[in-house]
Amino acid sequence: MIEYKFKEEKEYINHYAQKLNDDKALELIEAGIVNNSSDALYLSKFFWRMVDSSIEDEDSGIELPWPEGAEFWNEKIMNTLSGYLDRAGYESEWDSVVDEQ
Amino acid sequence: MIEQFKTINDLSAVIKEYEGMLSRPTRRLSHPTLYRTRDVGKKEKVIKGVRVKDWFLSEDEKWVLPHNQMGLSFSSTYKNLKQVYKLKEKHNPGKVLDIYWVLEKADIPPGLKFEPDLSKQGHYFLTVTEQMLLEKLVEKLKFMAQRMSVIKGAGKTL
Repeated sequence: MIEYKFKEEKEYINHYAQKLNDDKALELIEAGIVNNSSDALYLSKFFWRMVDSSIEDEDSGIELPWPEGAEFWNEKIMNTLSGYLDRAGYESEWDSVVDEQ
Repeated sequence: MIEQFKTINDLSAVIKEYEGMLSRPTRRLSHPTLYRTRDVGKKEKVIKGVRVKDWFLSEDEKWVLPHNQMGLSFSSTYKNLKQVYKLKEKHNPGKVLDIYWVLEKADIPPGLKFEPDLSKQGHYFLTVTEQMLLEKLVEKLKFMAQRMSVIKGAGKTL
């Protein structure tokens, strides 16, 4: 299971999955697990799309519903998701997407 | 040890060679262990350079309480450093990032200790091991920063 250190991490992911109209990401986050390589890749790519979207929001002056900035939450969520994917055996999927950035 | 790097890939061999090396990418002219308001979100709470949400603080926010999974983030592996670096690069377009580092077993001030993140390999927290006033933590973080080494990012100058 994806284990969050802060409850806001999941809220933040859901916020951006909804903003990006990404039903698949919402499903994966709600389930809290990925079952195959394809889903692991999808979640990894979603993370970086979320990062890009949050930076666009900050640049446009759009405020987040939390006091902390996007960089804080993106870093916490990166540790959470990459830690989970490592443990679940999908390290190479995560790494390949990091290398694309 | 190299003193300057052009891309994060240049650091792969260095990080692998230095066992026990713990590093943090830091925007040029920012502090390696303390935050300024320009380093954080507009509404994010920072007291005397300490980002409040990183630490386990008393309710009145005057004391820092021991917690082995809260503190300042460091990377112990190249892989972890690379992803943190890439994230910071996206958040700071056009800015130069330097890599500050220290050895895990180095002389760190009493009351501080590196603890591995139990849910993320390659990620460590610099934690407090005893209750201390926030001002005392700031002193210790400044002391740490003075002892950290730096590998300068080249940005677009190379």
